[in-house]
Order: sequence, then C-alpha cells, then structure tokens
Amino acid sequence: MRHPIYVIYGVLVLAMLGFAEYRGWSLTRVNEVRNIPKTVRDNPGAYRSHYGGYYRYFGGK
Amino acid sequence: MSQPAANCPNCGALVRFRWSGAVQTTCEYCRSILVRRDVNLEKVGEVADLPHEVSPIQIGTEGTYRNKAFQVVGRILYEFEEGGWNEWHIVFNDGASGWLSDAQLEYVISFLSQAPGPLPAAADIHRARQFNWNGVEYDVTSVTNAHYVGVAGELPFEYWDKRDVTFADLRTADARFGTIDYSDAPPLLFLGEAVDFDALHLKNLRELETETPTSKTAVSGLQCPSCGGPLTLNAAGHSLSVVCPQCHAILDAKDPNLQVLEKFEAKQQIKPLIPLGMRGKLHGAEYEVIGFQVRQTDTDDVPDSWAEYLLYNRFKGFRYLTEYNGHWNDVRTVPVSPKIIRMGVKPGAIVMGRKYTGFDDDLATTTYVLGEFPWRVHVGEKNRVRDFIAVPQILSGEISENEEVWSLGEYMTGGQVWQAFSLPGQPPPATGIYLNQPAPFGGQVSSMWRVFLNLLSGIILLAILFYVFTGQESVFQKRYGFTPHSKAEASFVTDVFEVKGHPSNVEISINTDLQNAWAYFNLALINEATGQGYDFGREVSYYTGRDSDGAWSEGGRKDSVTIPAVEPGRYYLRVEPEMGQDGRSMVYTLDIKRSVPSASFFLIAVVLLALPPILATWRGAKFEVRRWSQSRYASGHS
Repeated sequence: MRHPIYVIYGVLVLAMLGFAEYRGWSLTRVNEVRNIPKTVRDNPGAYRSHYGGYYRYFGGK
Repeated sequence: MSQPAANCPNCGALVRFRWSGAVQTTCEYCRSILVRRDVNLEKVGEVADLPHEVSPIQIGTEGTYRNKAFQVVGRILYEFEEGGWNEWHIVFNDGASGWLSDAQLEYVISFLSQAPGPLPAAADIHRARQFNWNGVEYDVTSVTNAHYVGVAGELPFEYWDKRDVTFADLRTADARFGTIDYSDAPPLLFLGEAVDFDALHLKNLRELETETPTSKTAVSGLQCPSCGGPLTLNAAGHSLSVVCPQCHAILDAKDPNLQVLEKFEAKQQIKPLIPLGMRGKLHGAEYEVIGFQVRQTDTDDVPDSWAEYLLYNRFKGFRYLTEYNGHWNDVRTVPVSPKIIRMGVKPGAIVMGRKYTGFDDDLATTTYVLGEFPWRVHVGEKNRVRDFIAVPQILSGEISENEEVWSLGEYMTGGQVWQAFSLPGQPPPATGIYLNQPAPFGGQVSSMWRVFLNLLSGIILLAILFYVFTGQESVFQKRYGFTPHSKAEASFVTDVFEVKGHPSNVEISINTDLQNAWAYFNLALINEATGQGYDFGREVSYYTGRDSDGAWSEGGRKDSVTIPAVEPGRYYLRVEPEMGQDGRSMVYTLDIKRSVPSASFFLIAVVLLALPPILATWRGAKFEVRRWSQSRYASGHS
C-alpha cells in the first residue's frame, strides 16, 4: 500500500464525516435552554425569548 | 557442429576445427598460423607473444545470445593508445558466425553486414558523422587507429600479419552498435548490439590465480620508479595509468618498468571518503575501489568540484561512484549515442526510449588523481561534459575531439554507499539540492493524488448514502398568516410533532411571501417531555425595485436554521413573528425536517483530504524550482 499514513488519515476523515452526518452535527450554534415551563404551551406570550426585542436596520439598496 | 581435422604442416600435430567454415586456425602445439588451401593447411606465420591475459573469456568459452548457443573459436587482439580489446570469433549451433568484442569488460556482439550504401573512406570518417541505415540513426562515437597484436584460433577469413587498422565505432540511442573496419578494401561493416555480461550466460571462462572477483588481476610488490614507494595494480591488464600515492607520479601501467608519464603538484592531500582498496557490493556484485579523481567546473568563475571513485569487478568491468556535497551517484558507462532533441527551451536526450532533460553543459577539469585508471589520466585535462536528467537518473556525456562516452547514473544517499561498502561512522550530510536528487515525495505526488481520488469517491458514496437513502425526513409542515396590527398575541405554539430515530439535526425552514418588507421570527424548539429547548431567531426580508442601474433585489423570502444533535422525542415550536408597522401582512410556511445532510461537512472533508497532496505538490514544486535554479538552462542564467 502506498502512502499508508495518508490512507489512514483519509479513512479517519471519512469516518468522522460519516459520524458527523449521522449524528447531525452542525457548524452553527443554537442557544440551548433548559427547563422551559410547561405553561408555555398554554400561554406562549409568557415566555421571553433570548432573541426578543429585536431591532433591525431597515436596509434596501 | 561437425569437427573436421587435419595435420599441422609444420609439426604434424592433429589440428581439430571447432567450426567447419574456418578459413584460418592456429596449431596449439607449435603456434603456427594455418590457412586452409583447398583440403590442405598452409603455414603463413606464427602466433605472436600475446600480452598478459586479463579477459575472462577464452577460446572454448560457451554462451547464449538471443536463445542461441555459441562457442568462442577464435580471437583477434588489438591495442591502441587508450587500451586494447579482443574480437572473439563466435560460432553458433546453426553454423552462423559472429564477433564478441570485449573492450575493458564492455561487451558487444556484432555480425558482418551488407552496408546499405557506400561506406566513406577512412580519411573521411570522423566523430559525430551520422548514418541512417534501415531507418536507424547511427552516430560515429569514436575513430580508433588500432595496432594489430595477434590472432589465435579459428577465423572466418585470412587475418595475420596486419599492422595498423582504423576502426570507426557507431552507436545508437538504443544501444545498437556498428563498426566500420578499414582493415580491408572496401571497408567492412559489422552491426550488432551491446550486451550485458550476465545475459550471455558464459561458461568455461578463464580461470585466474587468486580468489575473489576483484583481486584476480591484482599485481602487488611493484615500486614507484620516481620515489621507490610500494605500488599495487588491482586491474593489471586493464589499467593504463597508476598514480603513486606518495609522490603523485602518474605512471604507465602498461609499461613493465612503470615509466613516469607526468607528476602533478597536489596543493593539498585529498583523502578519499572511501579508501582505495575498499570493497563493496553493488547490484549483487563485489567491486573494489581502484581509482579516485577530483574534477571541477568553473561556472561563473566559481570552482565547483566533485569526486569520482572508480570501481572494478573482474567480470562486470568498471563503474563509478560520484560524490558532490554528500550527494552520491552510482554511474556506469552506457554504449549509446543519445538522440539529442529540444524539450521546450532546454535540450533533451533520448536513450533507450527514455527522455532526459538538459541540465548542464560545461568544461570539466581533472584536478587530482589517485590509484589506477583504464585510461591515460592527466591532471589539468579538460573535457566537455553534458548532463541530462530524468530524476533519479543522470545521463552524462564526456565529449572530446575524437570520442564521446556516455554514462548513466542513479542517485544514491550517503547511507546507501556506507552500507554497500560497510564503512564505519556516518557519511557526510548532503547539503543543497543535487541535480538528480529525488524531490521529497518524489514520484509520489501523482500516486498521492490517485489516493485522493479514491478517497473522494468515498465521499461521493457517503453523499449518495446520506442525501438519497437516509436523510431528510419531514416531521412537520404548516402554513400560517401574520398581521402585525392585530391586537391578538403574536406568539403561538405549533402542534406537537415527533422526532424519531437516532439523535440527528433538525432543520427548520421559513418560507414567506414578503415583498419589500421584513419579518423576524423568535423561535424555540421545545421538548414536550423534558422542557429542554433550543432558542433562536431568524430574520427574513426581501426588497426589490428598479433604479437607473436597472432592476435590483436584496435578501430573500426564505431562511432556515439547523439545530444540531437533537435527541429523539416529541417537540413543538414556539413561534413569535414580528413585522414592521407598515400595514402589510404575510403568509408563511414552517417546514421541519430531521436528519438533513450538511454540505459543509462534505466540503470540509474534501479540503482536509486534499491538503496532504496539495502540500506534497507544493513542496515538490518548490524543490524543483531550487533544483532548476542551478541549471545552465535556468532562466536568467548567463
């Protein structure tokens, strides 16, 4: 076998790729919140999102 | 093969012919040269005293050539200024007759051939003259004025009492060989090819006195006539010059009195890295170091010197080890005349079908000699040297007015040389880059890219697996409307949906009908059972219009977010849309999928896999730039 180190490296990359795809890894991060009260189903407005109070730039060309 | 016999007219001894076609033979008892006249033998002369024999071949030696067995039945011996050679007359089982030349243990088999055209007169033949016979280009590589020394055994023609004879040797790029023999009028043409000693499978070789292949021609107990110091000839019979290590007198090794030819003043004593007399094994054969010389070029007025070690094996002949700044080459002469071509802006050469790129063309001067040599060495002698490379090989030509000699070398590391000669310690480290030094990952870059392509096909297979067979399971989809003026609570939760299977990502896509408006979505994906949630927001805005530059648009009506590694379970989405207070409303769709393949990872994997071959290619290219910067043909070289 030629380039055994490269082949081993390549197989590891492929294995890592397969694992990442299988487990659904993502490059983006999403804020994880624990213990959201169950009342949110009955009163969605009572829950304050981390992303609430959004202010945006009114863009356009 | 029939074996006719007759009685010697001189001594009456029975003379047996090995070959029925022989015209001339010699009597083994009285050494008469006998010529056949009809059924009788006539004495025409006597065999001269031949010099000390060093060829491993003798009359009676048997071998094979192109699967045909032959036997050596006769011999003509010539000498010239630079040495001597044997023309062994060989006859094959089918009665055909040919010649096996043995010149300093380089072997050629040739046959008398009909010249396709008239051959030039001896006065008109010169080195580099070309002939094209039957589509093959022959170059005259040397013109030799040889002296007839003697004959022995059976010959296909009368040949005795000769004096000086001119020979023109011809070579081709594929080791074919030719000789124009001016011993007769009109001249004779012999065509054939160079052959390897081992390929001839020779038997019944000459037995010499001592034990090892390298020492059979050694003569010790000699004294330098200049200083009286002891001398040994390791290749007696082949060597033409021997240098006294004590006084640096260059002596005539062919002269029984070792006549002093010249003396040179060594500015300093140079100690060879491999001592003279050291034996080592190369290509399965034992060689002895018998000569050492230092040569230099004066490119750009900067002396550049290298060492050459002459190696000797009684059967295999001579080969060389060259050393420059710790870089070594295993070199042997090759019986070819390369076809010189153009390779872009550089010259090139073709030998045995392989292309070599021109690297250097310079005058080399011999500056120091030690030991013995099968040629007349002169300190201060200059020769044109041309180098062509096909890494790790180097093709070098030494060109003088009357002769050109080509040799082929292969790069060796100091470690390999030290191992071959069992030398103590470590070899000097190699510094710089040598012209035929293999590049790091040399020759491996292309195979590395082939491995990359195989790995890339693995990535493609994984992509097919994830995109076609396993991925993108839709778990929720619903259409909603939103009016910002409404007094009703904007936030709401979706119906519960189930994310099944193994932990996987979840992609939430928002598809709106916005037109010159924006919307912001506060979103939370919440596990109904555990209360664990993923909180995130997404803006969607889409503006379009037309101005002096034409139509324009900005943003998009869609967006999505991927939540990684979501555990299986029952989930719902809390949604809180926002919009500007400009009176417009929107309709949007929430589409939730699990196990969505990520193209980013595939791209990252491709980059990671490409990095090693890219690095190897880059290092190789950098190495080649440094290599070629030393070439005569480098751009900018004066």
